[in-house]
Amino acid sequence: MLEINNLHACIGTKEILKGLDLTVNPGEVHAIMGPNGAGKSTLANVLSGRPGYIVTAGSATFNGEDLLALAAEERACRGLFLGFQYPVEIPGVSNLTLLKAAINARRHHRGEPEMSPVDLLAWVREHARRVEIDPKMLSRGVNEGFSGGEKKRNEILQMLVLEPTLAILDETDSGLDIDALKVVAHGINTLRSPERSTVLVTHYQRLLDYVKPDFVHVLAAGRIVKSGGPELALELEERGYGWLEQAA
Amino acid sequence: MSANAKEIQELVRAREYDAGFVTKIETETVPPGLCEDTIRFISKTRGEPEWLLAFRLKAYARWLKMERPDWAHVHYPAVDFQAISYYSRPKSMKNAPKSLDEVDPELLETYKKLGVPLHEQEALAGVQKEPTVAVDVVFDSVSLVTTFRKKLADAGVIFCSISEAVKAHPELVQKYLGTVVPFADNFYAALNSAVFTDGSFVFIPKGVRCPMELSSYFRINERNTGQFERTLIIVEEGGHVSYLEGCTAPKRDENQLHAAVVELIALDDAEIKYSTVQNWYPGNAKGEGGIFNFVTKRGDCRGARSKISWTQVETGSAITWKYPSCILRGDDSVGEFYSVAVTHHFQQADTGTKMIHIGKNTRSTIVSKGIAAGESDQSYRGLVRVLAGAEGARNHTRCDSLLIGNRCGAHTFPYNEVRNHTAQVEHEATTSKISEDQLFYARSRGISEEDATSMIVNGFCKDVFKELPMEFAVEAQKLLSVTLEGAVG
Amino acid sequence: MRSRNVIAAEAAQSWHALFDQIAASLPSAAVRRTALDGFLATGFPTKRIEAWKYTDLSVLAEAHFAAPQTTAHPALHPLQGATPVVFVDGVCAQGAELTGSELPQPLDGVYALNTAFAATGLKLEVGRGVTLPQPVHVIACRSGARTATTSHLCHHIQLADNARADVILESMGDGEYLGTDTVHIQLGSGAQLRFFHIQASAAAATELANTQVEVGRDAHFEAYSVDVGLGLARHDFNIALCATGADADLKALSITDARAHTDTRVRIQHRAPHGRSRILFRGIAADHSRLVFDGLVRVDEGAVKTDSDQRLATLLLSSHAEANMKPELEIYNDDVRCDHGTATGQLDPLALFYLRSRGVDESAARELLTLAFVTRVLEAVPLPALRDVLRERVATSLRTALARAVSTRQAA
Repeated sequence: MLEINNLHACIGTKEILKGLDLTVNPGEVHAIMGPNGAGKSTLANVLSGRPGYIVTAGSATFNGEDLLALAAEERACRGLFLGFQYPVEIPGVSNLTLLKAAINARRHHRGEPEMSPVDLLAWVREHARRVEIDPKMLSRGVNEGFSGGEKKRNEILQMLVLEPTLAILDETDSGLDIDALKVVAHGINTLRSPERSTVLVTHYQRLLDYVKPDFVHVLAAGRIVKSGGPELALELEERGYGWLEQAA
Repeated sequence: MSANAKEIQELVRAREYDAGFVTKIETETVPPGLCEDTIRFISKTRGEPEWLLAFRLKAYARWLKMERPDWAHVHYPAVDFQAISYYSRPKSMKNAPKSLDEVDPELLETYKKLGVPLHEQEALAGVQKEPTVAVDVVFDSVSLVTTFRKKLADAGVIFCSISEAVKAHPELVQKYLGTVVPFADNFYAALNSAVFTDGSFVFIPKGVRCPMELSSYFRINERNTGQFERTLIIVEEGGHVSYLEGCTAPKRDENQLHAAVVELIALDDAEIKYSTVQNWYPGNAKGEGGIFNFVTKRGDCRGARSKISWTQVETGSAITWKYPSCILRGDDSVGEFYSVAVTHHFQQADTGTKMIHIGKNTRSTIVSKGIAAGESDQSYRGLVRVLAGAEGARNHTRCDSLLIGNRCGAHTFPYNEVRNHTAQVEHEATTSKISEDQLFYARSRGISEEDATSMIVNGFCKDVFKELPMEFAVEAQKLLSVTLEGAVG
Repeated sequence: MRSRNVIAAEAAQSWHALFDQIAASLPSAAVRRTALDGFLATGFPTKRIEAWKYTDLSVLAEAHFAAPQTTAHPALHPLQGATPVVFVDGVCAQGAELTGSELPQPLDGVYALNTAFAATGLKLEVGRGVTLPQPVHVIACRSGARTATTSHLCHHIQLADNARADVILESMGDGEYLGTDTVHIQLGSGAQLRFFHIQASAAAATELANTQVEVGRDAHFEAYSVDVGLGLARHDFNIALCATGADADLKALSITDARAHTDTRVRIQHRAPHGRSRILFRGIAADHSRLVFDGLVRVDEGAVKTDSDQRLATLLLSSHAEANMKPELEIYNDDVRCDHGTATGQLDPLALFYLRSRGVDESAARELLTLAFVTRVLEAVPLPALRDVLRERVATSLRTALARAVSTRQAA
């Protein structure tokens, strides 16, 4: 599904990713862990097409298509989803307006008719209940005045509503209390299926107690320095990252 | 340099102004030029009483001594006031038509194209169950028709053209005309006072809530004419009215002058809501042609607890010079100003408001949203003045500008003058481009850049749009997209 | 529009006589005379001129000013640890002075008077990479005790690349006088100047100051302006951020009492990319006094990534005081972030109540909150010795103003 080869990327003149390789197959959940500044968020942003990141070498394909050649919205329409570490506030644009536009853009891309407003509302409301978002918040501005936890749950809501085939969740667990973490994890697990994959970018092992990954990778100094199964996350919890950073 | 700004610039396409057609019709137009005789002619043609002619001549004498204001942040060639024709009417309007059947079908077609309902049945047969709107339509210098007069009269409301009001209700016109905007107020108000032609007159008697929205639709059609409309709205104690105003003009290469005066008077507990969607021809993408819109609009909250609320969506005109204001004379009176101004190509707008706090516990709110694109230039200019007697006065101003592209300008010139220590005046302003983070966020959800930008801009204007009557809000959003077509989507 | 306030013939004659007496023998006499003629043609600015909308100087048009008769040197207190430079009535009494040979580019309007008459001033040049070991404290003292006098100073501060300096400019006086001070500041790449302006004019005085600043690449201009005078004071700051990364940070504080009138007008022009500017103003007006603050941030077409913020707040302590705020933005570039905010009002009644409910009496509570209001400017002053002096002076001014406010409240 996702195939990354020798990826190098910079912000300005500073190289952050230095030859990263990663393969994600349908149905898999991967966790990418690593110390601060290792390039975890950069990877998520590069994959979703955020302006300001320059790919200097390497490739990334998504279902065989060159991902890096696509605009951010084209990637989204093909089934990629980025859960933001810092979700953006857009005053005056309601959550529903954003979701309606996003759903219909996707349908447009697939040559399907727009979703009827009644179906859309029902669809969004159903998922809002699942992530414990008050339906009243749907008509408020996107993330406007939301608490940190509400913003993260709103990201999960968008993910559920948009049904991506590959979700990249950038530190979606940070800043959440245990109850919110469970809600978020439940949301992620809901979407698990043989056709869908998830990449969890996280600093802590905590989320992995609730979302069991198939693979765990350690990203340090811009490269994957170690890969393993769920047991690797536990080992990292115990030993920290120091021993791997030295190896990198 | 952001990639986005560049892409947005590249998206700039020619904008379609769909109200730009010309109605081919025979007219009677006075030769260009302005002198006392022109004024006597206008007054005589309209069959005006002596006092009104005297008012006009006084204004003219004063205007001759005045200088064209040059303080606004707009640049344009000097207007040759002798090259403008001050009166033009369709020939068929010589004898006032008694019903719509007598109105020239060509004119009726014009309004059909513009989507302005002139037939009451049409308006009533509207598919949606919106509150019905009564319309006064002004074509060049004359009012063609005012709808729903019977229904309004039954409620005690007077809604007609100002020339009719001069004949039918001279005592009201004489009592209030020029009391909010004196003829010597400013250069363009003096000019208007001398040569004004049609415009609307509204009178809401004590305790009456106007049963429907009132609206005026102004259209300039004839070449080389100016439109000098005059509107007077009086709401007596406890009355209420919501009034809407729309305007368009054909596409022409030369500039045309529109210099209107609007006076609002609210007595004790009265409320006036005045909404404008201004869509005068803005000129073409090269900055040729377009209307010079030099307008004086002022509301007088004369009574205690009265309220005047201005909402404007300004998308048209080559040059806009307009400051709808409130004089908060009555204790506890309230003034509001909500504005969205959008400029593109070579449009220039210097617009804002004045809130003059005179009475005790007067309150005012200003929300201004400016969007500048292309090579346009836009300024917010606002005065909040609290006089010494205005105990407990409050003002809150929010003034935001968005720039789209690096060749436009957006400026903010607020004046806060406070002479009472119990007053509280607050002003907040921001100027920036559309946030790249917001744009990326929407795009990462699959929404195209154009749609995302349009969505964010609409969100930016939401605080103003929500003040508009429903049917206008929809139109305003559409107009916003059309105006910025190419600039943002 | 032409000013209607041309100087009356009689007054013009007296200006000419004064010129012959003071300035005719100075170098660049021709330039000076042209400046004077220019001034006499337009006269003192009136409210009709936008830049002087809230400060009308036309009352001075008929006045006759004499050259000061410099007598005794009043007791002055230069800041401890600073290099003192003292001017009494436009004449250097202590420290380094500028020889008259170097006339700056002529100024127009009322500041043309400075071009015509200023014979001296501070001349400070700091070489490349040099950090001035101690601040320079310029004291300009004026007197017009017997007759109305006029005197003028022109200062130059030039910092070469990566130089650093602190300059304090303090003006004061007694009696009736008209003084103008111009300051020409040039900062080379990476230079840093901390500039302090303290204005304590006498009640019958008019003090006009004009500070022109050119800030070079990655250079930093930090200004602190404190007005505690009783007369009419106007201060123009024209700050140009000329090269990439230039930075201007201005903090101003005005306390007006009695019939004082203080007008601060700041123009910051962003001419180059990545510039940053900050304006913070706190004003307190008591009794019949008036406060004016007009701040414009202008961003030129090429000045991308400009970051500017302007915060103005005023407190009115009396029902006769007046505050006029004008925070302006003029922007010709979309890649910017420019904000401003103003607030005019009274002390927060809730905060006042909160303090009283904790046992603080009303006048003490008012003093506490009023002082807190100016803290952001005062506590930002980086020189500890100066900060202490300013704290004391501001507290004294406030106490007088508050006492007057209390007595007016009781009378009412």
